[in-house]
Amino acid sequence: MHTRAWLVVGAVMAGLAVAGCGADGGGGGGSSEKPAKVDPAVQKVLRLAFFSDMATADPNVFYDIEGNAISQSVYEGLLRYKAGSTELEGALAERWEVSQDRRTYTFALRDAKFSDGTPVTSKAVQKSFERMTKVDQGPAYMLADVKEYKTPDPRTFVVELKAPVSSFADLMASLWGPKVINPAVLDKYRKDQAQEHLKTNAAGTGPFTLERWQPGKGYSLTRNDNYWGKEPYFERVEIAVKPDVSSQLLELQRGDLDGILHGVPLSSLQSLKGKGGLRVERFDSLGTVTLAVNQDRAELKDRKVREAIVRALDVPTLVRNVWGDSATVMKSAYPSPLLPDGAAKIEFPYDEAAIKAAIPPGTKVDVVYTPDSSGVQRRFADLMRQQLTKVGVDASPRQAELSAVFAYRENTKKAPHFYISTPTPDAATPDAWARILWHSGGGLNFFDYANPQVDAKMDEALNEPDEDKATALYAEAGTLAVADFGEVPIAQVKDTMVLRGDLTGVEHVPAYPWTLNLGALGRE
Amino acid sequence: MARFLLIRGLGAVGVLFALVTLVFLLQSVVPGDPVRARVGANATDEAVARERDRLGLDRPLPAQYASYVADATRGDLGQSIRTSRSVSEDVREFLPATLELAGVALLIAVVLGALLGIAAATARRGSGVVKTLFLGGASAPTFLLGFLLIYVFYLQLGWLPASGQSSLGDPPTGPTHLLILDGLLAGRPAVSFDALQHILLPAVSLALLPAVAIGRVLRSSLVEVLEADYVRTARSKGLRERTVLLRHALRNAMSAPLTMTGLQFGLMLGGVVVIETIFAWPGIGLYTDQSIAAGDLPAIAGVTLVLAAIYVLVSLLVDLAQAIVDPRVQL
Repeated sequence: MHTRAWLVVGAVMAGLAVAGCGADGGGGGGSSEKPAKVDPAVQKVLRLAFFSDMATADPNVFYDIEGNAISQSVYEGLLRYKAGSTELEGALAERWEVSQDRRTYTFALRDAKFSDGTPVTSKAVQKSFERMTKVDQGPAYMLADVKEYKTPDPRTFVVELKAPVSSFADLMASLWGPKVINPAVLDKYRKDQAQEHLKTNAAGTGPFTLERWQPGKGYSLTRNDNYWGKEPYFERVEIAVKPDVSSQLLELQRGDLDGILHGVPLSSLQSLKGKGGLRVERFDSLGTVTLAVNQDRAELKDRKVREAIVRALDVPTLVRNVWGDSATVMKSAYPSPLLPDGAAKIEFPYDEAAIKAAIPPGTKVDVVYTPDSSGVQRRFADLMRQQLTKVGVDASPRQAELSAVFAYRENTKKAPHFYISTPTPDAATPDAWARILWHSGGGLNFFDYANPQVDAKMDEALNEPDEDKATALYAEAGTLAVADFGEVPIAQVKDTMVLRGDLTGVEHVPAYPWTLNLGALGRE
Repeated sequence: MARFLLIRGLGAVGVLFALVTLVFLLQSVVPGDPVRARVGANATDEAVARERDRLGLDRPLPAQYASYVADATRGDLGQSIRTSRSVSEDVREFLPATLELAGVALLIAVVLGALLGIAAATARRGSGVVKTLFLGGASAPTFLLGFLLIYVFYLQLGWLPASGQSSLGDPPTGPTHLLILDGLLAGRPAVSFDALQHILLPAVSLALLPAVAIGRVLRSSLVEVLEADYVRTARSKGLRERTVLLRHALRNAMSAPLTMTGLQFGLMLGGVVVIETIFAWPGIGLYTDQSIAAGDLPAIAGVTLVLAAIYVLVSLLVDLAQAIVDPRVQL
């Protein structure tokens, strides 16, 4: 009696199975060499996704990584980095000069306009820089050493510093560095420094303008017809908020997304090889993984124990197993190429007997990591636990949100023993890296590591006008800090993206994580 | 009736007050420094202190509690640390999408649950298949259903979109903020059709488990009612089985399924986080997911209160509906 019903179910299941095997499925997860054809209607629309909302579009408040693609596309600073390099080049400044005492920076502005046609002048630059200081959010520290601004003519902008700052030029090129904002907009909304307006609107000079901001849904950028540089190929950029990486991957395979800019799990990267005309790109980046070691925990007070536990890690194996080709073991205390090769060298020698002898029996530690869509930090913590077990250390990995990690400093004695941190310097300069990690009170110095010698060397380096001397001082600071085993660099992680094979003009900058130069991108 | 409403209303106020206290206490005991995380690692201590002052987080706990309760009674749920907007404003922005999704899902769940329940109770042809579906549906996790539906209907068949609420760049932004309805009100049926296409997969994913739960309860109630004397009398009068079922049995079997429907709607609101994350649905679940990641406790607390208030309201409506369908129920 029920035979017919079962036949219907069987037919449906068979249909699903056949559909599942129908590799290409309209351009889907097949193994063809070419990507699924793009609907002509979206030929000139670049479709990307964010994992979460961008908190704000205000360039003086924005201090996050998700959202870089927008921030970099709608605003520009005076300088920027050349594609694939840490070498500076002019952005809104055509050229720049630094005085002999390294206190005065003179920028010659190019003939550029804001998206509404307002010309970029030195007064506009000054107004923007002053706003950054007045708003005083995370990135404002970059202008803390400014003594005064001068605008001798509309195309010349001069910054005088209180003292030489070795990283100043790089900070002008930082992703979160001072951006030039349309003074007409700042004047119109002067009541609150235009903070409310610029949260969801943009007023910059970049290749795109922010057309629509829809929390939870996405963002639309349109080509800026007043852009001074080469006209972008794409007329629009649509960035949707899609928190799930699996869903993003399916949409990419089906041709509804043009790329995933970060967060793809290693297993998916391997399975995507050669599929549907997609390509996996691994770009050099300044992103790192470091192990923050809490010296205030009784078990880790002794430097020898800290050293033994860190040395118990088979770092090359860890890095290979967690990131595959997407990361390299750090050979220096600084990410490459912030210092010359061979400076502040670090190694991870493994001597099991010496390690076991240094670690008291029954040592228990907890290892904290923050969640990420690719799951690499969790995997790192799990493998770390396995490796530490071999030398008799009982390690317990657990997850914590970043907001909880920022509170560790309030009571380091009760904070975890280790935190797997993923710092990225604000700019391609040794100071931007060392100061946040190793300086007393450094922004990412989660367990309040402090060594007066390290601080002194860093401070001396920052104000040292001689570049070579400054580099040597940073190298010494790094060597000293790593020898304390307070914050140990582990891996330098590549910016790994999955892109449609028909995208052209792919330009990436190591100091600008999770984004490409959208203005340079095109489609075959 | 008035007494019932008064008692339930007072009870609801008590529940919400207890919840306000609980979420506030949670905010104060959960370790974290979301302000530092928000302002940035390199922000000066002064900048962080100023932000704490702006958010009122530098005041003593009792003072914070008093103003939180006072503000909450006025509908002001504080300020989100992540979005720097008022939580009430954020809820107004994100809640309609969730209500639309949950509403459509509930509709699907009720229809499907009724079909499954009736088919199973009357042991008609194919009821074995129905039972298998019950078991399969009840054991499949929601996220798995979601991925399965995306895989089949989006990736392989290409019939339905996998994510978002609309493919259109300029959907209407009011008046109800329910896109399907707003499309019709704006005289743009294409908007409604597009929104329907987008809502189908997440709504079905969200509806299957509740449908199974409703169907099971309905089946049990129906089996019991179908053996009652008055049903036997109706049959002996020569009424058609369909008439007996729909006119006599079903109405008397509605009480338990109605309660279950209300309960499932509440659970559905709690479970939207997973579905909205998978389908990138711009609702309160997605908002909550992002708020949790940012340690944005004012936002989490605000959402908790709003969802609790909806749940209390739905419970009240279910009680009223029970009294309407079953005269034996006294309010």
